[in-house]
Amino acid sequence: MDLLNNLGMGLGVALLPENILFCFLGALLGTLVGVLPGVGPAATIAILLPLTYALDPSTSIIMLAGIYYGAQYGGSTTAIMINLPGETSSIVTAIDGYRMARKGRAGAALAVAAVASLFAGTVSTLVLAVFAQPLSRVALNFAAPDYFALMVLGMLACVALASGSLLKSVGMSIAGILCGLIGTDIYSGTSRLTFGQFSLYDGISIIAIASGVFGLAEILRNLEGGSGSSTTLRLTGSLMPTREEARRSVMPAIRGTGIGTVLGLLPGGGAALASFAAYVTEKRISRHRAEFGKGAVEGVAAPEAANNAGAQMSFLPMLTLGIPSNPMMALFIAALILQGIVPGPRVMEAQPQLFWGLVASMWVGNLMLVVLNLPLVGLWVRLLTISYKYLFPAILVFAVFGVYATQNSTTDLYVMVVFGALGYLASKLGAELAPFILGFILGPMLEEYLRRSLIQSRGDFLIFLERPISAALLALAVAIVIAASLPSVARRRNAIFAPDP
Amino acid sequence: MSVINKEVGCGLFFITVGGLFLQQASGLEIGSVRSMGPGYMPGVLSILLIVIGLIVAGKGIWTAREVLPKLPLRALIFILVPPLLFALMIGPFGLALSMFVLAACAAMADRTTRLPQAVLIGLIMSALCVTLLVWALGVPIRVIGPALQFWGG
Amino acid sequence: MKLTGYIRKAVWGVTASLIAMTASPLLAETDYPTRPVTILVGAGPGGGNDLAARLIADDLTKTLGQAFVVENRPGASGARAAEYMMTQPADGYTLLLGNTATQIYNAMLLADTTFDPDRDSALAGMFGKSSNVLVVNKDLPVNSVAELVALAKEKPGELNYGSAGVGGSIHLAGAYFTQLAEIDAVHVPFKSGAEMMTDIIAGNTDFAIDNLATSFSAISNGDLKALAVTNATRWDSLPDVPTMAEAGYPQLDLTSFYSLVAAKDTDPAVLDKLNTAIAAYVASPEGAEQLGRIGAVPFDLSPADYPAFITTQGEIWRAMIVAGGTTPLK
Repeated sequence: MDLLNNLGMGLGVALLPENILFCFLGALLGTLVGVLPGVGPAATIAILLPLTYALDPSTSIIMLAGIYYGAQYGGSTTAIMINLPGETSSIVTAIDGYRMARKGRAGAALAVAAVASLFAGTVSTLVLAVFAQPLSRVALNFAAPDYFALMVLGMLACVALASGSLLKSVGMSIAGILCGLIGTDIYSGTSRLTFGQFSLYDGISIIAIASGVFGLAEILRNLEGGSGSSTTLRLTGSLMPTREEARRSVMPAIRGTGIGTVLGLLPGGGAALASFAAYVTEKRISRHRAEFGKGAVEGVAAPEAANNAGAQMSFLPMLTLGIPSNPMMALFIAALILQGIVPGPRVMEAQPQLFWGLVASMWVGNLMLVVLNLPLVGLWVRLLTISYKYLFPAILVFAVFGVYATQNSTTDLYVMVVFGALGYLASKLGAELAPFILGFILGPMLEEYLRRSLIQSRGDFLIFLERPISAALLALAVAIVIAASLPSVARRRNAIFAPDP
Repeated sequence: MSVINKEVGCGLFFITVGGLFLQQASGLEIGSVRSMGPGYMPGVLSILLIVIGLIVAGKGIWTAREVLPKLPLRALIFILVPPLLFALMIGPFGLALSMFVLAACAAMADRTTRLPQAVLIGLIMSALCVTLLVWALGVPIRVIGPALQFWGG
Repeated sequence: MKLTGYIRKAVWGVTASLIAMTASPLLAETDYPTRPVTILVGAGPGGGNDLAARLIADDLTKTLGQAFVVENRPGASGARAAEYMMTQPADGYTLLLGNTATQIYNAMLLADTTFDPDRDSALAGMFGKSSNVLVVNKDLPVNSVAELVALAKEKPGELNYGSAGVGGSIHLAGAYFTQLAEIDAVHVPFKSGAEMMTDIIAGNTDFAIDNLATSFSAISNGDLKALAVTNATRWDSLPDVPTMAEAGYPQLDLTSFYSLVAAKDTDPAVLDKLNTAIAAYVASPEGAEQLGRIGAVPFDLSPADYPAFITTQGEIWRAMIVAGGTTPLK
């Protein structure tokens, strides 16, 4: 049994005392940098890289991986508690997680996020153990047209994300795409839409935008009455999820895990899509869809599971192909190379301890995160009950420090303020922010893949139909559009978007 | 006032954003569908956004809905201006003073907060940031900026 | 950073004071550095430039007895970091990781950068260099530069070459190569070197003159074929790969380098002290080994030889920029 052998070997490595120690250190450090503003996991890993020469390769990678998923975890904590998603991956969690917290269910949201992540981590560890070999080259089958088709599907999901007016959501997602296109056009090298600002040549930072439209706009909403004291949070019920909340989280966590596991294999933007896709899926099929955007527990369980599964799966193309799916994975490649290990198809045979040790340690690390964080839930939640009058200056300080310190950029602060104001205005005018953020993330990729496909096909649109993957994905997209525009279905869709009776 | 309801406001918002981007996109090379230039997507999308804005606003005029919400001016000023002050001050004055100004001004967004309370909040926040984030965590930000160097050495 | 940051600071503190006690009489000319020094990097954490900066920062921290702290200020291929250095006092406490972009081609390409490397910076020390390498998809039926050129001439306009962005070194080298070899190939830009490499491995893009550090792993796995290196001599870790000069294109002698530079008016004694420390690192076996890990080799170039080196490389860059379809500004 390969599976048992591999997992056994992995656990053997992961459970060595020093590896447990460094896994714990990494997870702890990651949670801290994820929760605290100003130091991202990328910077932390980069700072620690030269120090890891001294360690055994598997030990150092295990520790760095701990920082990576620990930080994602910490990012979800701030997203749920104060609507400040510290990492891109926790933006979706902020939508319903924060609403749950405002309803006094912060403890439940944090616990569901933790357990859903652990579940997803367990499943993706098993999937890696069984299918690592055949899955390792999946990423190479995806060319520009296929990614384009995937992004089209994602943008259609944008529309599905709406709970209010369909037209306004489309408008907001277009505004998001336009903001995403700010910066240097990679195909011509010309800077565009920069409003004359030299500092916008490299585009605008997603963390600055998210801190504005989520964090700042939320503070403004809470202060509408003139005093924050009236919006001070009162906790309701027990700290932990109720039986009902737990039951409602099970299927979303399972589906989220499935979605994350598949999309995590696609380094060209799959992982970024995972949490959105999981959220949209739940919103479409849930019996509680009216609660989405108002604190639905499914809206926490699904994206958190998808995130974590996606994050773990993205180690596979990184290790076996040397392809990073995000800047963090690029750092892991640097770490491996510093250790004299060349990522590639032979890593699994040449460095089985490293490969399987890492896979097993991710599971161990996820377990540690839950053990580490569940006792903290009580503390976090109690912090939230401080009078909002004193809490909001702290949240603002948090946001400003976090946005400034990550890139030492005052431009990012201006961006945050502008988008805080616009985000507040838009929400006052009944337009939603989720489609805006999704458009911001996916829009530039959509354009990039579309134009690359056309360059490589010399302007021939048939390329989208000749490739089986893109043809299938586009057919699916067309089917969705047709289904949505048929009168009878349209009526039903309206029923879906309107708050359920 | 009755014409400018929430829907019309949202439509105008889209039209303004679309218009701004269209103005930015003008002058960029558009190219063709087969070989798109940098201005193709921005141009098409901002026109689309303007059209959507017109539809939203048009529908709003005929179907009167909720009135335009009042804006909380005090909160808007005290939440949005301090980060800008911080951005201007962080270079010359360093973290300690900028953070104090940020937190103290922001605290005044709440109309029940008195000045001494705000000053106290500013002091605490500034001290926390400097000790916890810069000294303990090692975030590379200057605590006392060059304009105040005669103090800090 | 938190715990380890503490430990590291403590360890550094102790070693630093020990070193200061034993070594201070020898370095009596200037007491620089008396407080932490910032090294600006014009790129985000984790890339070759960032890692190079961190290696030299660690070494200088040990030898000069003050913390050398890396600060990432990404943007406009390093121009933002360079401009930031100009706003700081010229006292040697704010250094910049100088590379091909900041010291040579940004000034030629970016109309609105205010940083002029000749006017605004002085070399503190050169410490590493790396090469670019012409790579092709492993299934492309060519095994040498000559065969690649022959194939491209047989199928004009059909081959694609990749880059990590218009106006970057990979694009310009590729464009210059197609010009020198008189072949017609289509340029496909990507957002990053890694994305480009993936597309070449998958066979959608045919070749590129990639950074060696990015494609080294794929070359050693056999996913990419290396046809030539742009360095003037063969590269130690790829002894079987000829140089561009051997392949008949001596004009493509391209060296990407890592250096530390300071503001122009920095006290010469401070520059001298930094240069001595950096030269010691370059000569040390640890330096060679650490740089080797990021796909670079030690680069021993004295400040006296630096201007000539920059002029020669500048000429090559100017030719490449013209080949890439733009007119150099400088």
